[in-house]
Amino acid sequence: MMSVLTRQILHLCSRCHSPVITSVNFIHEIDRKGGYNHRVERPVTERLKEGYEIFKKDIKVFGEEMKDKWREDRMLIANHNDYEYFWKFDGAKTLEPWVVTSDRDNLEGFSKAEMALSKNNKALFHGYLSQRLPKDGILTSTGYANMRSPLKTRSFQRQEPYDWSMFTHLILRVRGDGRPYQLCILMHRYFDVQWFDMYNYTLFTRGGPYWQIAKIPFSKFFLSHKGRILDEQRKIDLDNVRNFGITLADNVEGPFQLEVDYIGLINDESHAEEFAYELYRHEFITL
Amino acid sequence: MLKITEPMQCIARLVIKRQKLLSSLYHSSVPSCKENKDIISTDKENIQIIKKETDTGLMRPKFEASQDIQSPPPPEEDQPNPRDRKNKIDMRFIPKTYTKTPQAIQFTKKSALIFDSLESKPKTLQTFKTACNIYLDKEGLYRRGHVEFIYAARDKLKEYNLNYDLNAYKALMNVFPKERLKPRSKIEAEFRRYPKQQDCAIEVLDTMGKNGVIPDVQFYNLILSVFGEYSHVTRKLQRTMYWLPKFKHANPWPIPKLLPDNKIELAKLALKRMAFDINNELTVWKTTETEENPNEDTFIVSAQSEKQRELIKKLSPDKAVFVDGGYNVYLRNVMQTYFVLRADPEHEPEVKVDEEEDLFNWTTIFEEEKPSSIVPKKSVHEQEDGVILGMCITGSSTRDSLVSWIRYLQDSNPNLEHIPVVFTLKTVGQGTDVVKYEQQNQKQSAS
Repeated sequence: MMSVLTRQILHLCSRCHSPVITSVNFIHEIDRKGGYNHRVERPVTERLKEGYEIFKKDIKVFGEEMKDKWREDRMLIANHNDYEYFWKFDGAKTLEPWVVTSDRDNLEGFSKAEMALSKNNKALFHGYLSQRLPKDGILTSTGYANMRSPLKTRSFQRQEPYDWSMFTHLILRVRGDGRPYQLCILMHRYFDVQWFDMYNYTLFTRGGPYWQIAKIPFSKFFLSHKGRILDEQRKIDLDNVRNFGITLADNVEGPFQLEVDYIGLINDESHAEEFAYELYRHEFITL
Repeated sequence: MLKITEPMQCIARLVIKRQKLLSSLYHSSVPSCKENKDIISTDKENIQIIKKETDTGLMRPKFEASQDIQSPPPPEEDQPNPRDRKNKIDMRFIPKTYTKTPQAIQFTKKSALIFDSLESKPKTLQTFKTACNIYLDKEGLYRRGHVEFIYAARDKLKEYNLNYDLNAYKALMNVFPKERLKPRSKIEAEFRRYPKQQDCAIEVLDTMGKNGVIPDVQFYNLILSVFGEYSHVTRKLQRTMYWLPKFKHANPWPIPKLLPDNKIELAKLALKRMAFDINNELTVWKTTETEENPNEDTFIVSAQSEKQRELIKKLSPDKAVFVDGGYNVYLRNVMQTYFVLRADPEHEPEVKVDEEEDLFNWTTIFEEEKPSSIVPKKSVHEQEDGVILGMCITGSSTRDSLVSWIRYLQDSNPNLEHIPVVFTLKTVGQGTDVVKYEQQNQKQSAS
C-alpha cells in the first residue's frame, strides 16, 4: 500500500519518470484505457437487446461453471516439466479473440499491423512499422505494433485474472525476422495507480526459415508502468495476470513478421531464482 | 568645460560599449569560421543573410528533411485527421511549453547556422566536435543559448551517424556550464533547480537510452560536475547505468556493435545468424569472377551444411524443389532479403500397432503413449512445412541471380541436375505467406 502512495506522490510531484512530456493533470486515471477509449455510446434499447442474447447464452455457461465447481478436478500442483498451452494457434478460430493495435489506430503514427493465418495454420503477426511522425506538434516519437490475448471471462462477462502461479517459465515457439519483440504481461490490479503495471522482457528472434523455441523464466520479467521501468521492483505475482501481449517497437522502419505456433507455460523445478533484479531500497529513491 | 565634457565622454563610451555588447549578444554565437566572418561585419548585410537563409530553406520544417532515400517507401496512406478522434477528451501527453523568447529563437537559428557552415566537411565525430568547439569559443564564459544549441546538435546526431557513439554525447554534455546548475540542497533539487536545462539533459539521456548507449564513469563524473549529486538528471543517469548494462548481453544471437559497410559481410552475418546447423558452411560467389559473360554484376552468399547435401541426395527426381523467397531478415536496422531452397515435407509413415500385440501390454493413465515401431529421427532441416535444403542472399535478389545460385549448387549437389526447380518468388519485401480468412472459411465449409 505504501508503494502505491509513494508512486502516486512521485507521479504528481517529481516528473522524473516522464521528463519531456507531462500528462494532463488528473489525480486519478479516468478509464482503464488510459485515455485511449474509443467506445461510442449506443442507445439503451440496442444494448438491452444485445444483453438479452448474451444472457440467454451465458445461463448455460453459468450452469456448467457451477457443475465444474463441485467437480473440482482442476490441476492443483504442477510437477517437474508439466506444461500447459496458454494459447495454441491452430486455424482461423483461434486468431479471432486476439486484439491487434498499432499507433495508426490511435492517430499517432502510420504503422500497420495485422494478424493473419499462415500457410501452416499458425498465427502470423505482420505489417509495416513506420517511424514517420504525424504533424500534430505533440508527438516526439512513434512506431509500435502490438498483439494481445483476450481477457479471461466467466459467465455474464465477468472478468477474472489468469492464474499462472504453478509455472516458472514461459515457452514460445516462434519464427521471426531478426527483430527483438517485447513480451508484455499486464497485471490485474484494483487501484488505478497500478492499472498499467506491466511485466516485460524481450523476445529475441534469429530470423530465417527455422522455428525457434524460447523458454523464458518469469523471474526475469521486470516491472514497468506506461512504458517506463519502475525504480521499486517487485516479484511478479502470477495469479493476477490480466492478459499477455507481444509488442514491436524497436525504432526501425520496415516490414515485420512473426509467426507464432504456441504460447505455453512450463514448470521447471531446477529453476531456483525468484527474481533476477535487486530488491533493496536505493538512496536515490527519495520521498 | 572639462568638467562637463568628461561625463559626456563617459556616457558616449558607455553607449558605444552598450552597442558592442548588444551586437555581441545577438551575433556572437554565429560561427567564427572563415567563410562567414567577412560577411557578418556589418548589420545590414547580416539581415540580408538571414533573409536569404529563410528563402533557401533554413526555416523549412524538419519532417521534410528527415525523409531520406535510405528507408524503403512506406505504403500509401492518408494523414490521420485529429478530428476523427472518437473520444472528445484528448488525454494524450502534451509537451511542456516554455515561453519562447525572441532571444531563444535567435539562438536556435544561430546554432543551426553553426552546423550549416560545416556542411562541406565530412560528417564525422571530428566535425561534430568542432561544431561544439565553435560554440564554446564564442560563448565559453556565459554560455548563452546552450540549451538551444544542444537541442539542435542532438537532432543532428542521426545525420552524422553518431547515434551509437558515446563520445558524441560526451561532447554534447560538455557544452553545459560547470558548477552553476548544481542545486545547493536536497529540497532545492526536489523543486527542480534550472528546469529547462535539466529537461534538456534528461532528453539527451533518453535518446541515449533509446539507442542503447551505455554511459561510463567519465560521463558520470561529467554530469556530476554539471548538475550535482541530487538533481533529477543524475537520478536518471543512475537509472540508465543500472538498467542498460543488465540487458547488454541479453541477446543470445548477438549482433556486432558496428555493422560492416560491405554487403557481402552483412549477408554472411545474417546467414550465420539464421543457420541453425553447426556444420553450416558459407560460400561466396561473384558473378564477374565465375562467369565469362555475366548478366549482372552481383554476389551470391549461400549457406548449406553437409546434412542438407545428404537430404538432396535422397530426393527423388519426380518431385519438384522450390525456391521460395523475398523473406526479410534484420540485423538491428539493416534489412536484407533471403531466399530458401525448399522441398515438400515427407508424409509421416503411419504407425501401425497390432491390436493383438497390445493386448497384454497395458498402458496406465500415468504412462505416456509411445509408438512402438521404429521411425528414424528427423534432422533439424526437416520441418513440418518443408525440408530446408539451403539459403542464400544475393546482391540484386533478382530471378537471374537465383538461377545462377542453383547452377552453382549443382557442383556440390549433382543430384540437383535431375530435379525440376520451381521458382515461387514474390515481389521483394512482400514475402508473407498469408491465407486469407475468406479462403479459409471456404475450405472449412467445403470440408
